[in-house]
Amino acid sequence: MALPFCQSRRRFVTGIASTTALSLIGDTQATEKSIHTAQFGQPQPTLRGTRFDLSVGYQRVNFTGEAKQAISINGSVPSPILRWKEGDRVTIDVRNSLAHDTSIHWHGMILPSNMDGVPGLSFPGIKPGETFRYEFDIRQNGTYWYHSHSGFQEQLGMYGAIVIDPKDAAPYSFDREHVIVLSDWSDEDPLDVYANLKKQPHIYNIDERTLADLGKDIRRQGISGALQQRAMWNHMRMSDTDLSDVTGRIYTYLMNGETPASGWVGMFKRGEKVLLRLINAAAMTIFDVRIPGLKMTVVAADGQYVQPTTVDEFRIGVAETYDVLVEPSSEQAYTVFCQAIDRSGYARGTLTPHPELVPSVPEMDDSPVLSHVDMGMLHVADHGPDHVVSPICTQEHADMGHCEMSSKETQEFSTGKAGFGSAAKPSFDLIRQGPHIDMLARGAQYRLNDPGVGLRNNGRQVLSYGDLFNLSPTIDTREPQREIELHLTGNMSRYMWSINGVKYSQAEPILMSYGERVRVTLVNNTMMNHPMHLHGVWSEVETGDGAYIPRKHTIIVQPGARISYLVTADALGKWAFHCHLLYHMPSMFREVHIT
Amino acid sequence: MFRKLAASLLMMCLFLFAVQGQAMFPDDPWLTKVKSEFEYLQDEGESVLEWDIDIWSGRDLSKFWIKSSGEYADSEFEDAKIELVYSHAISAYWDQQFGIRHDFRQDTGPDSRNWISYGYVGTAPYFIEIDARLFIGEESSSQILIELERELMITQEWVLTPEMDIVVNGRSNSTFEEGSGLAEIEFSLRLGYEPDGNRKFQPFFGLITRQLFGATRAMAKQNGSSGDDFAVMIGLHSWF
Repeated sequence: MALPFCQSRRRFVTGIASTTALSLIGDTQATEKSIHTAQFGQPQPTLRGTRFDLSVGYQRVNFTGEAKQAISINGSVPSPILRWKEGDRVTIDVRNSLAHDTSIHWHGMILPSNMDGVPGLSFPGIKPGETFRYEFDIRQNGTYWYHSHSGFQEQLGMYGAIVIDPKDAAPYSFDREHVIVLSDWSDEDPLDVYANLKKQPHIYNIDERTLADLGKDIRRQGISGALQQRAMWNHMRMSDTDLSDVTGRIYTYLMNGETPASGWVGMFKRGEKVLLRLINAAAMTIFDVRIPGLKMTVVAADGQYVQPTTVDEFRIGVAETYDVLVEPSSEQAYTVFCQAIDRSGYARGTLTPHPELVPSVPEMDDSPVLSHVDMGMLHVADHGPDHVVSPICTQEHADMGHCEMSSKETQEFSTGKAGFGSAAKPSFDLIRQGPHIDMLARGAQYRLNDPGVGLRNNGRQVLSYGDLFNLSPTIDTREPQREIELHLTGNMSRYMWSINGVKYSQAEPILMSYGERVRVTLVNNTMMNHPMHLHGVWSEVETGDGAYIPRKHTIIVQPGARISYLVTADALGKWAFHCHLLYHMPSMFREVHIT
Repeated sequence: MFRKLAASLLMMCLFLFAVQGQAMFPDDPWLTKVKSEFEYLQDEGESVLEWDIDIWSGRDLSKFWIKSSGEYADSEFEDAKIELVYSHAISAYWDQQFGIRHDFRQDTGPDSRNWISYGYVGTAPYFIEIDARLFIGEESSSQILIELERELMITQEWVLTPEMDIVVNGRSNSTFEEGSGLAEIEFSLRLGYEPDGNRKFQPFFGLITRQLFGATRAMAKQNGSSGDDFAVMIGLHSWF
């Protein structure tokens, strides 16, 4: 594929050193390496037990050739792996050595709201020089992670893995495991990145539609097809290559703190069953993960066991985790290849039986291009792209009433029964209109079996949410007592994000009554994928079987799509609900009060 | 009148500061963007430096703008404008702007004038950037300025920017060599290069043609100018 942008594409692979100095300052804990972690490279330290001392401080790092200041926990980026045991009670003292307030949120953990680590909601935050004691019972097992919930500290390196060993044996066996933390690093100050996005939202897009592309499109689609497509997007004042707000132009994608140039290395012995615990700890980057030559069996999503499903590739949204089993049967090295959703770069690692065996790194796929489907427009499968007439639901079109859709295909799915999504049509009257909104997805549909833009029909078996079913039966089998419909909204050209057209600072909290079973339906009225995270309680995604509803903590809402999940409001207190893309989070955020 | 306008602008400024309570994160920080374009060209044998600077400061939906443009040639300012504008978003792609404008020139003897302005700035379908403003000045003078611009990416680094500016005057003003009616249409084409895809920095070269019309053209001819210009320019576009 053509590299329209050689120089900056080169940049992300030239990152030289990985995190320096894993000095474990002030840590009294024995920091033995997990016997399962790789024997070389620089594995993150693993802390075990029930008592932990974490020290948040500044750390010099060099990922790009330029030394920069990161924020680390106990001196390492990513932060140490915390290894807990289901049934234990853990005590974690977090000392703040920064000049600013900090906090740690235990992502995906079911715990009391005052332990959840969201400043202003769960607790006041941790002041400079102070130590805050977190203390809670571990009532779950699996792969989770932790990160700062203060400002943009997460972008600066404050994230790490949590692995909770189950009380009872896991429902699958494995001989070895590796934790794989994906992230994105920029030498730019996150506040500058946010300001740049507000000043020119497409500043980091290195894949803008060009006249050169038009030539290619004309060859593929013919003159009228190509021009019609271009005219449509131009008319909408939107860009069909706008997949990530922040891209490989300033990001170096990391795997366990290793750049693509150095690459993380994990060992295996031939014939072993290897469990990979993947965590997307990136600030803004959704990754597509595959290991050429190996099938992956997904055994857990967001820490919770699912019915095993074997795939070639899966998309991991920001803050999601997936556990996959691989069985390398030959004496060869494999590349763990994690492309950013916009293909502006990748994170890379190696699974190998011998350190000297180096696998080849695949070419990235072509940059994805958004389609009508991603805009929540009419289904065009029967007609082909030539017949798309006025499918667009920009505000103006919506106002003109041009955006009626037929929901034939979703009717079978959205029956309203638990596990099958809402029977109600989305109500766009819930949205507060104004200059902060640039489109409405009038044709938004459930797209559980759509792996998403860039992964459709790529010749590989790709996971979609429709493949996820919980391993054990649904615990709360009640039908939802009521429905909450929330619209993800925004104006890309002003870089404003909101829920129901109202940003966090002006919004009322979402109220739930203790014990109730609620259906939350999210409708994405933007052209970005939003990974939505609800704290405190499980988000049980309705994937088409009420008896085995998978439990997640973070859910990608595809552009122009809707998705529903059930919530049992069994945790009292104030919780956060937000888009986990770091620069969307300030405004695409709600408090959820369970009383 | 201008004092009154300045006072109300100040009030709006205070209002902007006051209404923004920040919660956990700075979701709508006060930001300042400085966008400038400097270009050098030869016009009828004369070296001319032109500038076009837009500075805005404010929040997502309400901002203050300072806009300035003009020409510097032969050690003198010709046709220099500075405008102070309050800008408020009215729809997804459009802002409404109110402001005051001050013009001055040195080449025909120092002279200046003031206007109040009202206009719309935004993006039309097909990504056409439009800045359309009406000015009301002293002695019931008026002016309409319309600027249309479209950035065309040729590659990720090469950018072609066609631009068209139109000037229409209400009354004639001999000091400023303006006749009533359609006065001027300027068309320019800039080919810029954004090294390494850095959208903040774009050196360019370009072509510019300027044609005068009607009474304005007649005035220019009286003063020894042809009324039609064509020039090659080099320049630098940048923002931070």
